[in-house]
Amino acid sequence: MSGSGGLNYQEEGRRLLTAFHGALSALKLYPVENETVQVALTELHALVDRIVGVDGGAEVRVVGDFFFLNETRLRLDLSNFATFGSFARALQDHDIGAVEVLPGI
Amino acid sequence: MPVSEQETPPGGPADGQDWEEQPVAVDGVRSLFVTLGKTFRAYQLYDENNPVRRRFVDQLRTEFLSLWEDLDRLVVSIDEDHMYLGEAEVYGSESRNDSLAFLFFKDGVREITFRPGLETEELELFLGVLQRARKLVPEGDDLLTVLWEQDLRFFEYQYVDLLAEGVELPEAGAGNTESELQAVLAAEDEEIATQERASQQGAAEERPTPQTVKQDDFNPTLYALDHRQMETLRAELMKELKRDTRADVLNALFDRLEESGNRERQSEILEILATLLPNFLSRGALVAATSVLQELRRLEKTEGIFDEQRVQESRHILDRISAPEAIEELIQALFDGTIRASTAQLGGFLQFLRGGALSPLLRASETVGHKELQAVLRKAVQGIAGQNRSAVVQLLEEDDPIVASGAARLAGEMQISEAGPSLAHLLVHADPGVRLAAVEAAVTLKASTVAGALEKTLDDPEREIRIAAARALGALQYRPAAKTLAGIVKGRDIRVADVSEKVAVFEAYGIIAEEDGLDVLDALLNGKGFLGKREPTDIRAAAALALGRIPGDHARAALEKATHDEDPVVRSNVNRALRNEGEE
Repeated sequence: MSGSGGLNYQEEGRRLLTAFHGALSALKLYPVENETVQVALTELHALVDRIVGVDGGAEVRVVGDFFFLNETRLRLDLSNFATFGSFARALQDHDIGAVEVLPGI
Repeated sequence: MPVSEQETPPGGPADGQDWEEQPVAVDGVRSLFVTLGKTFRAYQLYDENNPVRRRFVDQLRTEFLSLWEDLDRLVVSIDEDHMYLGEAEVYGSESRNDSLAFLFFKDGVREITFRPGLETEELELFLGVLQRARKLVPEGDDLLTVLWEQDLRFFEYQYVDLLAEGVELPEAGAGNTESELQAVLAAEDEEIATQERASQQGAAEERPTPQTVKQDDFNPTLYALDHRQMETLRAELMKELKRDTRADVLNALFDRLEESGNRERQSEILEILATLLPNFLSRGALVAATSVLQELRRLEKTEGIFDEQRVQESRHILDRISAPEAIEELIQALFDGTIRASTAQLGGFLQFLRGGALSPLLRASETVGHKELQAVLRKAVQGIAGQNRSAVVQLLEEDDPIVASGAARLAGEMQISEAGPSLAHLLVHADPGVRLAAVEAAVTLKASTVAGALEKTLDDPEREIRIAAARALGALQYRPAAKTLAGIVKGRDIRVADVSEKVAVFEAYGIIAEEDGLDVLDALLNGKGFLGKREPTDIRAAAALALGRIPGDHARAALEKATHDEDPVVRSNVNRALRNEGEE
């Protein structure tokens, strides 16, 4: 599914969540100034920047078993459910239902 | 309940009344009837658990009890609009709609008697009688019938037969014409109907918009639920919120899936299930995912549910969940805690996986540090391998040394004889761990094809593998290896090997060569070289142990020659060999 600005939400969503997961994992292991963490954060930043640039914002929402990127439901498959699940659990552990990134952040 | 038809007209004390009017009692009775009127009203408005109604009933009960301190019974006479205690009026009402006196009077009751005990045992019944009497229709029962049915023990009444001949009927007072009475009844009926509508459909909907507000409009207890009802509602609500609707939805899908008449719908449901599986797993709902796999397998086996295409679609789901990338995700989810399942739950899920899952599962089972998880994974691997023996053989060709060595062990444990050639191939694998696993598997498998290859492993660059190979050949009693072992025993390389390797090689030689090895071993143990020099201690000790592995008197005789050897190490091992003669 592509958005009006040409975003492939499924692909972008998968990459975004994978980057989120990667950054969270790196932060668990290393301090923020560590190169691995910095690379992960930079990648995440670039991904979010692109989505925000096209859509004017990026919201990842977890509702029950389902994930949404800017109100588009992301289709999980058997090759990424652990990544998605880990991200969902990270949000759930902090009672967070959605993460929204606005332009300028 | 004694009842009687009254012989005297109302308006004065009944015959036989022997009490004297007491001012205190009159005030108390007046107060009692005021409370009775209020209680009766509350009784009609509220249900039995309403606190307002309860409060009035309690107050009425209290006033009865208070009254019994002055009276042993309460007898009041009744006319159309009043009640009298002796000559004193104790109750009066201008409106006949609300009048207790008229309620009794219109059905012929002219005197009523309350007795102690009513307030404790029959008060609710009495109020119930009044409420029923209030709702009676003209063509139905009257108050006397209701009272007769209820048979109250602490409430008595006297009445007149309104239709009896010769009985003087009370004179009609003002507002007592037929039309007026009809109007009263009509008003009463309307009021009752309104109350019923309000209770059934909600007063707000039925009533016209009031111009003013009343205190009752703000009364929260009017439709309040009591504590027990609230608890029940709360519990039911929580039960509904916590109910696993996922299971219900799945059951509904499976019900439809079983209907073989609509193939397209079956395909659609299978597609939905394929989509749901990763969703379930991402949330750690392993049980739900297992139930999907279980049901699919059941439907596949049930005759007539799926046609060939649907069977393929269903199998495709199981194939996808068994794919290496899916299993790797599953392992990752188990590691990072996304899936938190008991070993039984995990085992239940893994049993549905197919051959494709073997490689990642095997790898995980070899590397996982969690003992319990490792046991579950190994059991799952064995379960899958049991149904896919050829998949195990294929895994022996894997480049991944962890998978290859795991597969080698698995092939040995499962006695997969067709794995022999592949195991022989693994004996020259670049990874020492794989070679060692292959040697160990060869012993378990007892395959001649592997034993032949084991001979070549005796000169493996790794000491551990050489030892394992020697022990394996001994365990397999592979006689063709005797020549190779004899060469090693007599060679120079073994002399620089450590004790463990010497012992392993010599013992293997003893086991395999048997009598043929006697001369060589006897010479090494007891022989003397140039200038009477004997072999090194380690070689002699190992030769002694090897002789101990050879059954028969000749080997024993060779050992006994060295029982008093000067070298304590040799002597000790000779004695040990003699004790262990014939034992493995």
